[in-house]
Amino acid sequence: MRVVFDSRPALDPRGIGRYASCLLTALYESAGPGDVLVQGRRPRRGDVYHAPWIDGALLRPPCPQVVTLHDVVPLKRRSEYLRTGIRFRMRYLAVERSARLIVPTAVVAEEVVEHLRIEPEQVVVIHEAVAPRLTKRAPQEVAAVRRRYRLPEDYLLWVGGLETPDPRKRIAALARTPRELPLVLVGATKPWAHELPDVTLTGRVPDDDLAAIYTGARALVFPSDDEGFGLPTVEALACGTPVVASDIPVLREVLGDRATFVDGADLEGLLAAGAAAERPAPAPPAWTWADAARATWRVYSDAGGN
Amino acid sequence: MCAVAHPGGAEIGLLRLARRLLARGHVMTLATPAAGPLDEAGLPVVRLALGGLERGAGARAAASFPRARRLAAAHDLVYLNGTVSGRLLPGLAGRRTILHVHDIVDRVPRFWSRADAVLADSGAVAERLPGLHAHVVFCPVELDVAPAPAPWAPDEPGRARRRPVVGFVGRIEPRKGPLDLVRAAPLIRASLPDVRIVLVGDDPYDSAPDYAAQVRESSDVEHIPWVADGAAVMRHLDVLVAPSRQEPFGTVLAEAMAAGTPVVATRVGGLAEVVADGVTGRLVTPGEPAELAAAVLEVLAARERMGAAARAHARQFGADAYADRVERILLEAAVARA
Repeated sequence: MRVVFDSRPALDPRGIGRYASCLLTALYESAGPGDVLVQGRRPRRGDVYHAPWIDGALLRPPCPQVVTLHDVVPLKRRSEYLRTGIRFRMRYLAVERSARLIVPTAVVAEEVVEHLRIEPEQVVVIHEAVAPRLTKRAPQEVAAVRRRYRLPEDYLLWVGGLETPDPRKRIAALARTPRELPLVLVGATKPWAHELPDVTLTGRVPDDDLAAIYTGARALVFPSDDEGFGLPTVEALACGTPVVASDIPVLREVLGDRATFVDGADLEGLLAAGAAAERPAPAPPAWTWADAARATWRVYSDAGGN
Repeated sequence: MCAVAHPGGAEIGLLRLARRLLARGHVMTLATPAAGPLDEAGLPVVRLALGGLERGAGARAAASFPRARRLAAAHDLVYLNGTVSGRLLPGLAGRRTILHVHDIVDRVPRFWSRADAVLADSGAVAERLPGLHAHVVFCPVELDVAPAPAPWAPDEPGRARRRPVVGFVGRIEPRKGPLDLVRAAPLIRASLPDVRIVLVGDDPYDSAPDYAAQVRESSDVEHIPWVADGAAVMRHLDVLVAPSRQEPFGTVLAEAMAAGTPVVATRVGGLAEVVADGVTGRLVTPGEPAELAAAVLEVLAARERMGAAARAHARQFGADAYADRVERILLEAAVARA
């Protein structure tokens, strides 16, 4: 089977880049005999075309199309997102013309069926996983990274994109909440983030440093009131760091009982639970990118009608 | 003592050393198993069979023990270039010997400890030689390379500026990982549309025809057949990529840096010892196309700074510095009291 994979988002600094790059690597490694993976955005001679992001979905795909939709937040909370014009509607129209839709959690699968004209049988849940490099680091490595980024000795951590103030991430509210331990925010920033009160910003960091920053944190605090998957939570667990998260169905699905859940409205309670978190953290889910890739190849096969 | 008649990396290094030792007044005889290009190196040559290169063929080297002993008696020191030559060690009791290990080995025969000194191409090689106190000497590269034109077609005329060139130089086989650069190529091009990505090399042993075909048939890169002087290619590149899955040293990296070309290499074996990560290039995880592409783009953006640092960093790998290091060890071994 010849699969054309739209790899454009693979270098994106956000979660979408993590998904596309980890999946691309694992797809190459798990390709079966006769399976060919080609990177491109125009499936000329493909049996299946996969857009791992909504922006790659084609309105008139020349072959069966698979799209990965990471969440439907813009459909659920239209007033908070600016992309509501004709282009926005065309994108979702293109998504509806997919043979298969991959979503990261069962919660998102339900929402997709509710908000889009697509049959439940066409929606496949494939969990995301931790990038292999994100592992617990040795104390000297953690100390070196702490010096390099001027991090406090003991801190609570949040990881994610800080280029736009995404309301569902609730990071501005988190920064304003009184707390006992300093708060470190990791992720690419734009000027607004530098106006957040009393936080340490690192900007975007390489994976080795990210692993050390995770390892050195007291806990990851994750106050989102909506997520598609919540990848930083499993990354933290992979680095041995406890997770304190808002109690939303997606995170319950992904983490089970591996995290402390706090009512999303109670940010003070969330931060206090973070400060009280104890190591060792539970092990992360065993699901790997290799598992995700094998499941994705099966989706290609179903979409192509084989 | 050399185990092969046709020069590979280990033999090229030996010749670079021999040329300098000759100039410094040492007298040498080269032993090889058969006639070949090494005979033209300007050293007196004798024939000495060591059995084949395959494992298990070593027992046949015992037939050469008497001849090796006679040769050794006529010299102060026997330099065993590579582990296959090391098969002579049991027959050289009482003679001064140096064993030079070029590969990351899985198994250390007990008789290797009979060598008076052991040389290793990198810390990664030395790490696999427990108890032998191997000296890490690196591999020698010539710092002055005769300029030669680039082996690929020039940019189409009428361009305001030269297109950046990302290159791979080496054998087209899985261990060298060129397919990983092919897979990273669309990602690099997505950010830098006018980039040229050239792969220079062949699969001379035809060891993995399917793999080589995948690389050759890709339309994402330009494939150039093997060139005689890889070092001369380096100055035409803006970044050299070495995506190897395993590598004891990585001579291409040292050659590229000597030419002022920054590098992107995988974090495996000796490669991490040759590259100063973030200074002379970037180190990446093997088999991760997106990480490789991001590193290439990062190095291209810092090409001038990293290129200058690379040139300075590469001096330690120069053949003259190498000859100084090895000569000192040879002299110490030759005069050491047993």
